[in-house]
Amino acid sequence: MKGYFVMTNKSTSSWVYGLYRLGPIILVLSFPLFFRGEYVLGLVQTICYYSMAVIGLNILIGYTGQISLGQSGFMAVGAYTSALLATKWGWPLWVTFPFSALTSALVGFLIALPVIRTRGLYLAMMTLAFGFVVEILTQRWIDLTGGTMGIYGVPTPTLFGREVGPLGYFYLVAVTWAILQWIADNLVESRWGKMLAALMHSEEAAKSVGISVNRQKVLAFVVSAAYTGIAGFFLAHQTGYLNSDSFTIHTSIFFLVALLIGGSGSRWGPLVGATVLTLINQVLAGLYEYRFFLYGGTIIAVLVLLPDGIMGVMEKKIRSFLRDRAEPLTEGNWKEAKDIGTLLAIQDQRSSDEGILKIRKLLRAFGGLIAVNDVDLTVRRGQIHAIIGPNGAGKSTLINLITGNLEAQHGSIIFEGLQLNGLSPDRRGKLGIARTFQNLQLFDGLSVLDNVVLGFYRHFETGPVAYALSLPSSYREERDFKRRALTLLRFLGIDRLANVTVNDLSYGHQKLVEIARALALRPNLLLLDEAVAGLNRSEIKEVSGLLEQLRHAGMTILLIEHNIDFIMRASDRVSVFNFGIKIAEGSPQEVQDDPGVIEAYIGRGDGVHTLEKVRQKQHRSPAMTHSPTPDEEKYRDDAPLLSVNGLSVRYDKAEVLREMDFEVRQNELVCLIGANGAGKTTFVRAISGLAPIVKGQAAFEGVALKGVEPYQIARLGIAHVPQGRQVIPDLTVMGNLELGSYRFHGKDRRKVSQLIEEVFERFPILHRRQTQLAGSLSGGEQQLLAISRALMMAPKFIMMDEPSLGLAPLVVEEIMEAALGLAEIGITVLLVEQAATLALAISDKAYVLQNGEIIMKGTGHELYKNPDIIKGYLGG
Amino acid sequence: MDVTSIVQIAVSGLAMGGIYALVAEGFYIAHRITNTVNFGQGDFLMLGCFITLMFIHLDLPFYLVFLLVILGLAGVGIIFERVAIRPVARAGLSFLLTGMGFAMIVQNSVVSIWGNHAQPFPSFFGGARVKAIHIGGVGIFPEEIFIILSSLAVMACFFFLLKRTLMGKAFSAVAYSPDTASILGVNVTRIKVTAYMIASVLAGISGFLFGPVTTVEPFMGLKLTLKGFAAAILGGFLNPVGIFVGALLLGLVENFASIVTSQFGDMMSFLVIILVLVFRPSGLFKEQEE
Repeated sequence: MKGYFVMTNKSTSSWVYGLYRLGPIILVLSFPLFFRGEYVLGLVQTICYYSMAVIGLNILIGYTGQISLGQSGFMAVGAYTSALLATKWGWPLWVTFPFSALTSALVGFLIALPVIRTRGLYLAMMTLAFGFVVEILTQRWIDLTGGTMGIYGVPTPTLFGREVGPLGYFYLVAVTWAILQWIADNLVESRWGKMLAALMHSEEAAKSVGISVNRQKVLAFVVSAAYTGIAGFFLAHQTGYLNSDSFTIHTSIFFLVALLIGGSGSRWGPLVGATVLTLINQVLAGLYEYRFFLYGGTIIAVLVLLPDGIMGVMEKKIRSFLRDRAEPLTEGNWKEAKDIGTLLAIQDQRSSDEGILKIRKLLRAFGGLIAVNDVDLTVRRGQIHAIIGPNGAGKSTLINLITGNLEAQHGSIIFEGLQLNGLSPDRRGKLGIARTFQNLQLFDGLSVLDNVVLGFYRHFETGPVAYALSLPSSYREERDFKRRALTLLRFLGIDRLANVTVNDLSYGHQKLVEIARALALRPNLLLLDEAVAGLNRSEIKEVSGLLEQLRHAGMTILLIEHNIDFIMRASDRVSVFNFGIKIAEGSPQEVQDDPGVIEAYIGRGDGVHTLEKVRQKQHRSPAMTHSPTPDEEKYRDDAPLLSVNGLSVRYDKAEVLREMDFEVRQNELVCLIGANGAGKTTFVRAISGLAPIVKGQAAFEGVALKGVEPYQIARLGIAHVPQGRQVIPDLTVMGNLELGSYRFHGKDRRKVSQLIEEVFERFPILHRRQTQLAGSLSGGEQQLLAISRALMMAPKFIMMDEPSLGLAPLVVEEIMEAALGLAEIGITVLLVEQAATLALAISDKAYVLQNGEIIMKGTGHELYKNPDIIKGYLGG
Repeated sequence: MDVTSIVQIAVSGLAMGGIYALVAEGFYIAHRITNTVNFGQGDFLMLGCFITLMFIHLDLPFYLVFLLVILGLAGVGIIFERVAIRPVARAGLSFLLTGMGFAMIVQNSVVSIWGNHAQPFPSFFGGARVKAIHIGGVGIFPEEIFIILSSLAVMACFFFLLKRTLMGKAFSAVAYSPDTASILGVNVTRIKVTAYMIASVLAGISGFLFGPVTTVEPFMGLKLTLKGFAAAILGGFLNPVGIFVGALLLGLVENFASIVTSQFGDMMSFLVIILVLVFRPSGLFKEQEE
C-alpha cells in the first residue's frame, strides 16, 4: 500500500506520479486565479486548515491504528495559545505561530504518555475525556478565554506593516497546508511510516526488530497534535474573533467523519473528506428541517458503500499502476556479496568457546501450570542449539522469556555478559537478539522488501528531520538497506517476490520472509521458533541449506523444532524438554539414543498396543454395534454418509484444498492425516460450513452442504470438535454441555437431561467437575469436554480436529479410546490427526493429505504398516 | 454541608448512576457479542423518553406504556443492527460513525414529529410535575428512588439472562468465538441481532425512567451516550458487574463535584476517568475475560 517506487522515464507513469503527488496542491493554490469571491476563497481556506487537522488524525488512525476523539482539544490549545499571546502580550504572529505548534505538541506529548497504555475503546475514552476537559475549560474559564462570548481583536497577520487581506490570508493557509501535506507524505513514505505500519499490524514483531513501540506511538500523537494545533492557529487569526464554540466534541467528530469518508490511510483522503464534509454542511445549512436526515444518511451511505473511503480504492489503483511501471530495484554494490556471512557482516563467533547465552534456574508459571521449571541452559557461540520436546514442554515459553515477551518469575538470563531480566523486548532486539514466531507475525499490508528492510531497523542512522524533509542522506540510506534486503532475499531464493505484499504469499514463503527479517537484524543470537513447521519437503531443504550457510558464517542459533529429522541433521547440540523440565542434553546422537528421551518424546508403542486390543475386543462384540433406527434405514448401508467430490477451498489467493474426493460410510471410523498446514482443518471447516466451498460438492445423507449456514449443518447431525478444543472458558462444564444441546432446548428437556446423564456415565471425570469453569480444566479434560459437548448434539457424525494436540501420551490414549467408544455406539467418526501413528492404528479407513491433495488412501492397518508413510511423510 | 443534603445528593447521584448503568450495559452487551457499540445509545434513550411521553398523553396505563416502549425500542434495535452495524461489521471504526449517523436520523425524526423544543414530562405518581417528599427532613424525589429500584431490578433480570439462561450461554459462546458457537448449532446472526435488541431495550427503559427528572429534548442524547460510555469504561468494558458499580460511582462523583465547584462540576467526572485510566488502563475492575 505504502510502497516506495523509483520512477521510470516512461512518460505516462511519470505524469501520473506527478499529478498524484502535486495535482491537488496545484489545484488548491491556483484556485484564486479562477474564483476571486471572498465567500468561495473563505470556504477553500477553511477546507485547508480543516485538512491540516485531518492529516494529523490520519497519522494517528490511518498509519498508527490509534483512535482519537479529542482532536478539538489540540485545536483549542493551538488557537488559544496564539490568540492569547498576541492579544494579551502583543507578540507578533510569526513568533506565536511556532509557539502554538509547539504548545500543542507538548500537550500531545503529555496526553500521549498515559493514553498509549490504553487500547481500543479505552483509548477512545481517554481522548474523548481530554477533549471534554479542554472544551469545558474554554467555555467556563471565562477570565482566560472569554468563554462563548469570545475574545475580540485577535490580530490578523501583517506583512510589511500592512494586513495581508483575504487573498493574502488564503495563500498563507494554503501554502502552509501544502507544506504540511508534503511533510506528512514524506513521513509516511519514509521508514517512520513503515515503522508505524509495522507496529499497527504486529506490535510484538515490531518490538522483536528493536522498534520501541511506545516511543513511536507517542511521537505519532505529538505530530498529530502539532498539525491540529496549527489548524487551530489559522482558525484563531482568520476573523479577529475567537470563541469556544469551535472546540466542542462536534469538531472532533467532524474530523473523524472527514477522515473516514475521505479514506483513512490514504494520501488525499483528508483533503477530499474535509472538502466533501464542508460542502455538505454548506448545502445542508439551507435545508434546516431535513439537515440531520441527510447528514446522517450520507455518513451511513458512504461508509457502507465505500468502506475504504472515497480515496481508499482510487489510490490503491493509482499506486498499483505506478508500481507496475516502476523501475526495478537493483542490488547495487551488494551484488558482489558472496554469501550471507559477508552480506550481513556476521562475526564468526566460533573463536570463543564460552556461552553467549546463560540461563540459570529460570522459572515461569501460568496459574498452577509451571511452563518452565528451574531450567539451566547454556548456548555456546557459533553453535546451532536445538530444543525439542512434545507439545506443552515449555519450549515457546522459554523463547518468550529470552526475548522478553514474558518475564521470568525467578532465575536469570545473561546474554553477552549482560543481565536481561527486566529489559523490554525492543531493548533486547536492539542488543541483537532476533526471533521468528511460531504463528507468523509479519507486517501485513507491507511488501516483502519492506518487511525485511524493517529488520535492519537497529542499523539505521538518519534522524527524523532528514526523513521528514526527504533529505538525500535519508534517501541514500534507505536505498542502501533496500539493496541489501534484496540481496538477502536472493540468498533465500525469493528475490522475485520482493514487491509482493506479504499477505499474498504462500505459508512457506511467509516463513522465509520472517527468517529474512530476523537475519536483517544481523543478530548475535537468532531464535527460530518452529522454523520448518508446515513447510513441504523442498522448503525444508531450503531452510536446512540456509542454516548450513549460517553455521558456516559462525552465527549462534537457538532452534525449536518438532521435526526430528531436521533437528538431527541441522544442530550441534540438542536439549530435550518435557513438562517444563530439561530432561536431557547432548549431541544429536546422544539424545537420540537416550532411552528417557525416546520414552518421553518418540515412544508411543505401548499405546498402539493397548488400543489395538481395545479395538479387537470391540469387533468381537457385535451385540454392542449400532442397529439402525427406522429413520436411518432410508440410507442403505452401502450409501456413503458423507460424500465429497472434487472439493476445492480457497482462502484469499491460496488454494488450500484441490479437487478432493472423500467418503465416509455409516458407522466407520475414518482418519485424515497430514502435516501441519496440509489442509486438514480447512477440510473439516468446509464440511461444517465455516470455510467456503468454491468448487465441487459435499453431501451429507444426500443433502448438499455447499452454501449452507454452519448452524444449519450442525442441526443436520454433524458435530465438529474443533482444533484447540474451544471450550467456552467462562462457562462451567455443565454450561458447555448445555450449549451442545442448543438445538433441543426448550423443545425436548427430557432428551437433554438424558444426554447429560449418558455423557457423565461415559466420562465420570466431567461429572465430578460439572460446576467448575471450563477454562480451569486441564488440557485432557477440556478435550473430553469438547467431545462430550459434541455428543450433546446427539450427532450421527462427529469430526474431531487434532484431539491429541498438546496432550501427554497417556491422555492421548484416553482420547483415542473415547473415539473408539463412539464408533461402538454407532456414531460415525472422522478423526483428523497430525500425530498419525495412533490414529492409523484405530481407524477403519484412512486418507493422507499433503498440500491440499489426497496422496494416499487405504485401510488404517495398511497405511500404518506402510513404511513410505513413516519414512517419507511423518518424519522420524 | 450537612447530613441531609449529603443524603439528597447521594440519592440523586445514585439515580443518575442507575440511568448511566442501563445505557452502559447496552454498550457492554453489544460490544461483547459484536465488537461494535451503538454510538447513538443516548439518542435511543431520548427516543424512549418521547415514546413514553406519547403514550402517556394517550392516557394508557403505566405498565402498557412500559411494554410499548420496550417493543418499540426492540424494533428500532433490529433496524439499527441491519442498517448501521452489519454492513460495516468488518470495516474497523466505521461503526462509531454509522451509529452517530443513525442517531442523527433519529434526532431529526423526533424533531419532525414532536418539535424542536424541551417537553414537560409528568410525574409517574400523579401531577404534572415531579414533587419532592420529605422523610426525616430529607427532601427526596420519589422518581429518583423509583429509578434506583427499577435499575436494580432491570440489572437483576439482565444478569439472570446472562448467567442462567441458555441464551446467556449462547452469548458467551458467540463472544468467545462465533465459529465455535455456530458449529454448536447457534445462529450467530440472530444472537447478534438479539444483542442489539437488548441494548436498545435497555436504552428505552432508561428513557422511560429518566423522563420525569430531566429536560426532555431531541438533542439530549449525545451527552448520555458519552456518560454511559464513560461508565462502561470506568468499570471495565467486559465486566458487567464492574460496569454497574462504575456507573453508580460516576453518578455520585458527578453530583458531589457539582456541589464543590459549580463551574467545573462536569469536568471533574472526566478528570476522574482520566485519572482512573492512568492507573488502571482497563478500568477499575478486572475484565472478566481476556
